[in-house]
Amino acid sequence: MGLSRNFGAGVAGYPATVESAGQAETVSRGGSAAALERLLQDRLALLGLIIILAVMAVAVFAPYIAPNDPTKVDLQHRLAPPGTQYPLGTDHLGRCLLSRLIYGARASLSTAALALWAIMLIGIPLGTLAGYCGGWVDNLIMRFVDILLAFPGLILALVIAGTLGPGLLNVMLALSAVWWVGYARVVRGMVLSVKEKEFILAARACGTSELGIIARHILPNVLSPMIVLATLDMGKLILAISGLSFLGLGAQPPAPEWGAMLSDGRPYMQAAPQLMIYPGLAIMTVALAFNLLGDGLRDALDPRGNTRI
Amino acid sequence: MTLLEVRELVKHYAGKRGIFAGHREKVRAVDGVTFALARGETLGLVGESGCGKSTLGRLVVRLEEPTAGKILLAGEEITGWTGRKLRELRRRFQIIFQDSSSSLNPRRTVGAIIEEPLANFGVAKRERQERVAELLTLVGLEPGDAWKYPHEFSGGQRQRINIARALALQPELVVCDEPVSSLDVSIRAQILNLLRGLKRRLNLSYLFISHDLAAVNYLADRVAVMYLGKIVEILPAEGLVSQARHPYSRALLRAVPEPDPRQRTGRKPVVRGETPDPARPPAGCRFHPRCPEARDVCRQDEPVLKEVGEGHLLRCHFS
Repeated sequence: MGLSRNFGAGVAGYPATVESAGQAETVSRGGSAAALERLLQDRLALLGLIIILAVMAVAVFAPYIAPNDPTKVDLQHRLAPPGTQYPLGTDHLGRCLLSRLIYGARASLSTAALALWAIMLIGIPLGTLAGYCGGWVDNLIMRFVDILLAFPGLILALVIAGTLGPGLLNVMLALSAVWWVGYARVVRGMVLSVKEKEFILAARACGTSELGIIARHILPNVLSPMIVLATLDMGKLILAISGLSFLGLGAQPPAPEWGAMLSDGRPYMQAAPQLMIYPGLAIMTVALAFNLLGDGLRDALDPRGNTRI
Repeated sequence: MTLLEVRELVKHYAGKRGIFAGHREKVRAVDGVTFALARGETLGLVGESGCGKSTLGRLVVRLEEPTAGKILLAGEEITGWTGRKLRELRRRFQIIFQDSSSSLNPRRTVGAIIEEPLANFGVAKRERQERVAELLTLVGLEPGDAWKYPHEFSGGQRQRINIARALALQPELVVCDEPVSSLDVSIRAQILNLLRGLKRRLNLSYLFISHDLAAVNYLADRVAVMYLGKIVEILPAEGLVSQARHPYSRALLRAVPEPDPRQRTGRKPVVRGETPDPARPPAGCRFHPRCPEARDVCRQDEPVLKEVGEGHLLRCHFS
């Protein structure tokens, strides 16, 4: 039998070629620097990023940029057309439209960002717990998630916000209370797939504690899809907050907020359409910018799935 | 001196659940395995996929809890150990996995990966870095590779990283779970040679799991053949080709491809059919439905593992 010879000559069956140092291999995961580079090459994502940064700058420096006090009522110049004193004109109470838009960016962005933090703070730990522990913990958490998912989210948020009473903070609480379930589900799914990887077993075999495994091995591998989801959701949250404010549950007069401005301008739609056009444009632009950035991030962080057209 | 001893080890998994609770089928992945491994020895464990050899490897390094049976390390029973005691135990045995890429976290640098076991056992940062450089050199990589990410390496190099991590804590026993199966044939020899060299230098003991008889024979001192959760034959590696007596072992040997075309005889493999469902193992000898020499007694009585020569155990009514 040839086998014995084969054994006798050591591993003669295996030619001893020198292992090429850097075998050409498609890089599946680059560092964050490579991801950033890919993002900056994506023009639409870059446009989204620039718009977001600009709106954030406007929100931060609102007191220095705004030409007038956003809440100052000037009844002599009600529904004024654009002019030198009021660059975009005034609303039905003679308040400066541009200043209200600028301060409105503050309200929209900060509320959406806070809500997003709250959502992630609830959703990610619960999703991780469900996915990692499995068993009854998983069942308990996911059945609760299922219950929440069985209701239309925005309607439920409407009910909660209505119960808590109007106000931006309550809108934020209401949105967080229903929105986290999506995160919990996505995180759970990803944790389940990462958990099966052999590097988790290897970490356990070399003495890493369960918390260490979650912190060092599971969460970092779940992070990049989370960033994408969060960016896309910023747009949706801004829309939802504006929507609830439009219905009168969010920002209360005289506080400037885009959704509330739309609502205020509705009776004058025929006479002064700019009252609705400008806040509407602002909401659309920011939501679109977050969507563009989110799409770009998805492509940049995962070079394998080129779904972009 | 015996380093590792496994007695009647059993691992059952809950299989498909019936519609009504209580009707769960048990998959008998490991079903009463007994063997011993001496210090400095390499025991090769062969068998086709699904025979339970990987489960056995994971049981030994306590990544899975056995359903029954005992594991003894240097004469001390470690089966029930948990918590801090189990963690301390992790220094003494390590495991190298088959899939060299899935066993490395893609988001951590090679340095961080190799450092992890050291950090877990409180080695100071500076010393850790020195050890990482040492380990990288030991497995044939550059100390500067510590800053790279796993995807920057080839499959063979990644397996070297896995080996470095496994050796970081200076274990006594290393379970190699198909360490070369996912590698290119041209790279297997290098990794096998590396493992052999390391064993000599560091006085390691290996439980070497593989379905590749050539690899097992190259590295092992003794070979255990596993079929459907049970060991059917254990014999010294040098006698594998000439003395293997179990029909299954012989079939495995015959399935090894013949490199010299003039020596090829056109013999067909003797094992027919598929591996039976481990949830429903056949009565009598587990191999009888596929055995060319099966007789009535094989269908009724399960043979026991008995000594048939020096260091040669066999589970068969005949041969």
